[in-house]
Amino acid sequence: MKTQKQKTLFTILIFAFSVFVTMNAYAEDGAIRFSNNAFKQVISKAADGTVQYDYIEPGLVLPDDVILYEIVFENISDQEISNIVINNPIANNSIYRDSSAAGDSTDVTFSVDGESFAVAGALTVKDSSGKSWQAKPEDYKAIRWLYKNVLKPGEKSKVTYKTSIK
Amino acid sequence: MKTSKRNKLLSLALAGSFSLFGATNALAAAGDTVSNRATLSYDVGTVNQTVIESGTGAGNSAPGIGAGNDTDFLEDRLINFDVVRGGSTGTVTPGGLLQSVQYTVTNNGNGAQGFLLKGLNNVDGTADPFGGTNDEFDASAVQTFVEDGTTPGSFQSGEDTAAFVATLAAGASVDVYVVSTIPLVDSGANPLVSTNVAVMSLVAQLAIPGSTGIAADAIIADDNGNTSPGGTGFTNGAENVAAGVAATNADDPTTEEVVFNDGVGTQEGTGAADVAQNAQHSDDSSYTIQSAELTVTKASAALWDPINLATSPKSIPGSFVRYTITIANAVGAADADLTTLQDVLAAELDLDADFGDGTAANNPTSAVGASIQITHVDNAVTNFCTAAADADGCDYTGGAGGTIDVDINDIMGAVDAQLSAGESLTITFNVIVQ
Repeated sequence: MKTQKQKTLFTILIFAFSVFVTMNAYAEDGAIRFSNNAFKQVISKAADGTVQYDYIEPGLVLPDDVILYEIVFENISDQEISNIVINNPIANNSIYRDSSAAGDSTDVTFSVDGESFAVAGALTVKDSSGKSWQAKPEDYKAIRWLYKNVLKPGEKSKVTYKTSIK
Repeated sequence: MKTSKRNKLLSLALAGSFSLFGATNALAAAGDTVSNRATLSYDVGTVNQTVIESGTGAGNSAPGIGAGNDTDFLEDRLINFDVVRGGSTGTVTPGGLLQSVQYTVTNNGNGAQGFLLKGLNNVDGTADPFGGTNDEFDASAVQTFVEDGTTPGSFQSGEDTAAFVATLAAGASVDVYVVSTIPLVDSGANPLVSTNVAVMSLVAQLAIPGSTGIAADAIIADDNGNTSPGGTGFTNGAENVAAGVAATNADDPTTEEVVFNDGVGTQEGTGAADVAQNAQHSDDSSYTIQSAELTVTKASAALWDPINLATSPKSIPGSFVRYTITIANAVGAADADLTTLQDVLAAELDLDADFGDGTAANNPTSAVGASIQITHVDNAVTNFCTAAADADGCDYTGGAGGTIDVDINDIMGAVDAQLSAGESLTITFNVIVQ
C-alpha cells in the first residue's frame, strides 16, 4: 500500500518521463535535409546513332524544353524516420511529362485540383459542359510521393519528375 | 491521431504550395520565373514532425512553412514569327492609287514583340506566287499599313494608318497591307494590260514590344550568335535598321536570353534572300492588272421612209435610219465607268430630233424633242436626252453632218454609267437621210 506522498512522486515521475519522451521526439525537427534542383535535359546524338541525355543547369530555357526536377531527402538525425510524404505542385509555365515521376520505394499519386490525390488513371476532369474526362498529364497540378521505407540515420533517397516548358 | 495530424500538416503544406502556382500558372511568357518548391512531412518514432520545405542546392533542413526557398529559373525569349500573304492577288487598274495587298503577321514566340515593316518590289521575272505571269512592272510609293480593326478585311486609308506593329502579343496575329501606286506602263514602257503582274514582298523586322517604329527599336542580335541583316526604308521609308553584330552569350538562369528561331522567308530587308533565324520574315504577294476591256459597235437599220412607211423601209432621201451604238465590257474585265461619247454624222445625215418610233406615223418614241436614248442593258435603265444645247448631258451641234455629244455619266448617273464585266450599254438615235 503506497502512501499519498509516494503516489504524488510517482505521478510526477510519469509526467516528467512523458515530457522527456515528447521533447525527445520533437527535438528531431530539422531531421531531414530536403533539396529540390532543376536541370534542363539536353539530347545529343553520337555518330553511331547513340542518343545521350544530359542534364545541365537551366540557363537557356525555351518553350518545349524538358526540365528534370531532382528532389533529395536525407536523414541528418540519429533516429529513424518514417511516413515520409513529399508534395510538389507543378511549376508555373510547365506541363508534367507523362510517366516521368519516379522514386525508389514510393507510391506516386497526382492531383488535378490540389486537394484530392489518386493514381494517374483514376483522375478525372470536367469540361465546361460538365462532362467528365480522364485527366491528361497536362491537367496535373501536383504530385505526391509516399516513401514506403524507413529512412535510417544517414540515409538519403530521391524522387524525380520532368516537365515541359510552355 | 497521427494520421489526422499529418493530413492536417499536409493540407497546410499544400495550401501554401498551391497559392504559389495559382498565382503564376496562367500563361507562359518570356521573362517569367519558373518557380517550384516541394514540401515534405514525416514522422520520428510515432510523432509527426513539422513539415520541411525544399531548398535549392544542398537543400533546407529548417522546419516550417516559409523556411525553404524556391527552385527558380528564368524562361528565356524564343523569337518565332511569320509573314504570310493573303489568299489572292490584288487586282488593280493602271494608274490606281493606294492599291493594297494583304498579309498576316503572326507572333509564334513566347513573348510580346513589336515589328518594323517594309514593302518591296521584286525584279522583273519574279514568279507570281499565285501562278500568274512573271513580274513585269514595278509599283511606286510602296508603303505598309497595319489593320486597326475598325473595318477588318481590307485596307481603309482613313483608318489603317500605323506603319509598324507596336506590340503583338504571343500567339496573336495582325493583318498588314502593302499599299502602292500602280503605274500606267510596265518596265519596258509598254501600256499595262490585263494579267500583267508586279510581285511584292512584305518584310517584318523584329522589334521591342511597345515599339514606336524607330530603327533603334529593332532587335538585331540574339544571344545565340544570330543577327538581323537590317535594311533601309522601314516604317514607310523613315527608318534604316543597322545589321546586327553576332554575339554568343553564356546561359544564365537569372537572365532572359533571346534566341531567334524565325523561319526562311522570301526576301529580307536588304533585298537578299531571307534566311532563317535572322529576326526578319517575309512573303511574296502580287498585284495583277485587271483593266476594262470595252468594245464599241455601231449598227444601222432603215426605220421608216416616206413611201414604204414602216414596211420594208429603204434609205432614200427623207427616210429615217436608226443607229445603235453598243458599248460592252468583256467578261472578266475590270469595271468601266463610262464618261462621254461623241459621234460625227455624215454630211448626208441629220439628227431626228424626236427619235421617231418607226411606226407608220413615226411618232416620237418618248417625248417631242427627246432625241437620244441611252440604256444600261443589264440594269434595265433607260433615259432620254435632247439635242438642244442645254444641261441634260446631250448636245447636237450643227445641221446635217453635225456632231452628237453624249455625257453618259451625266445622263445615267454613276451607277448606271458603270459597266461591270460582261455588261453593256446602248446609245440609240435616228438620222434623217438628206
